[in-house]
Amino acid sequence: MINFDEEIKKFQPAAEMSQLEDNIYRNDFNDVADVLIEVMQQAQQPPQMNE
Amino acid sequence: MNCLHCGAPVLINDVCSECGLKQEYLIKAWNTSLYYYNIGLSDAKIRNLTGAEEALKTSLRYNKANVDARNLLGLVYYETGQVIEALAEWVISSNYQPEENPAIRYLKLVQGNQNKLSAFDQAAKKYNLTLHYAQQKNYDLALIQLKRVLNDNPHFVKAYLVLALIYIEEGNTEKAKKALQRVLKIDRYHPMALHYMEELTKNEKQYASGSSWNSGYEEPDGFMSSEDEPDEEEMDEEETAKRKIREIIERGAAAEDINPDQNLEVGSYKEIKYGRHNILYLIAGLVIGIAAMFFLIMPEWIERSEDTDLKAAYSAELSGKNVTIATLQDHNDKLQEDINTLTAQMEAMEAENNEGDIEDAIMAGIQSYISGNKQEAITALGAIDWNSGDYSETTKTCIQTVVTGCEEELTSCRSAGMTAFSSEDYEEAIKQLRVFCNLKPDDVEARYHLAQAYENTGDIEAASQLYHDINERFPDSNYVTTDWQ
Repeated sequence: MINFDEEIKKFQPAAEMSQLEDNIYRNDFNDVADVLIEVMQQAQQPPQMNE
Repeated sequence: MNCLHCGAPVLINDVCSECGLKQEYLIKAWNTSLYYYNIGLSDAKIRNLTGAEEALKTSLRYNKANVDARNLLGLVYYETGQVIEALAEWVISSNYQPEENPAIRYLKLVQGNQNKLSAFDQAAKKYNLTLHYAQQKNYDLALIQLKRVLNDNPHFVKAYLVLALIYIEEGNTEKAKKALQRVLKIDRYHPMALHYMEELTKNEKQYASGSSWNSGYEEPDGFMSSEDEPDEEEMDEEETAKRKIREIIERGAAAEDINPDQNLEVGSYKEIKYGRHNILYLIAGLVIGIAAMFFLIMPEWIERSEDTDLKAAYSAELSGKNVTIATLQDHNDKLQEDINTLTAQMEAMEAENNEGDIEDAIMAGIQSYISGNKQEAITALGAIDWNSGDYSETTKTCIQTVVTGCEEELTSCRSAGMTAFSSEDYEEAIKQLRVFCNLKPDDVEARYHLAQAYENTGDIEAASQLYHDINERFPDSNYVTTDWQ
């Protein structure tokens, strides 16, 4: 059976025109190349000792 | 070779000199991105838009600069009514590739129509309001808002799904199915729509029996405890309030020309039918045209026909007058001819009379001369200008004989004339000098004084004749008058 209350919770508010800019910035995620660069940068740093 | 990620030169060991990435990994990532793009494209072609969206998002995770994947993702968003998300993808895409990018055309098309863009924005706002109403279980308000949302954005898949949910909750399975069919028409394999549809098909009777909102709905066990259950009076008040709200909403919907029985149908969310208005406009146009003809064109026609009649009348009158004028002109010509003929006859008669007068004057002069009255003789003969007329030799001889015999009288006549001229008695001077000059035409001095006497008395014609005579006959004399006109 479909539970209305549960189902309606799945629906998120739609983006409005005023949120276009935020939407664009939010879309700037990391792809594989960015992840690889990040990993290499972390690898080049000297290991930090836990106290 | 340049780095696929940052564009810097690649070293001989296949590593970028700038970002340090091994190109082999990048090429693999790019290939994977293209692989998922191809899956997304295939899904989009068969209208599996949810599948396409997932594949394209994965493609961008491998290569966020995959412009084709991003553009297609934007198109998928746009097709499912998520316009803001679509615009965001196209803006990012045009940022990665500013030239020869279809995203620029998409942006121009969407942003060029500000009315449509505003409608999409309004649809998003109303949809968010609808979610709020639905969570508050204000289904009437939610349905009205959803109708408006789908009017503004007919491809808004999420709105159709909420609509279907509300219909299911209301127990209106047919309308719910129609809404779901709309979703599946846009996105053929939309998992949520398929799930709802399957549930509806399986348990149609149960859903048709109603929900908590309907009177036939039975609350699940333990949903509301007996302590929380409101008493009968409170229920009545609540029901009354709900009914009132529903009536107000329905009245509001009716004011907007919405049939309460039809406004909830999915199939009714269509563009406004302008055909009906077109007929009204056509009839209004015809009425205005006919009115304009009667009030603007007809008076001009009538006036023009009246003008034509008036012009014809004036033309007839004018031609009649012309005929009259021509007749009168002929009559006038004939009268002028008669006048000329009569004038000629009169002149001939006058000439005859003059000849008779001259003969009488000659006879009187000669008789006076014979009888010894010389003064009377020169007075009678001096009345005629012998110099200007054609006279016979005999007449001239007779006159010359008398003139020779009356030298003394003529001299005294000249003296009297000159004396009178000196004393400015021009009438007397004319009288004396005319007699003298007629009988002695070669005395230029006397002639000149006679001319001046005529001029001083105002007889310009006589003076002018004498001046011309002096100028012609005595051109070498001192009395030639060059300035006389």
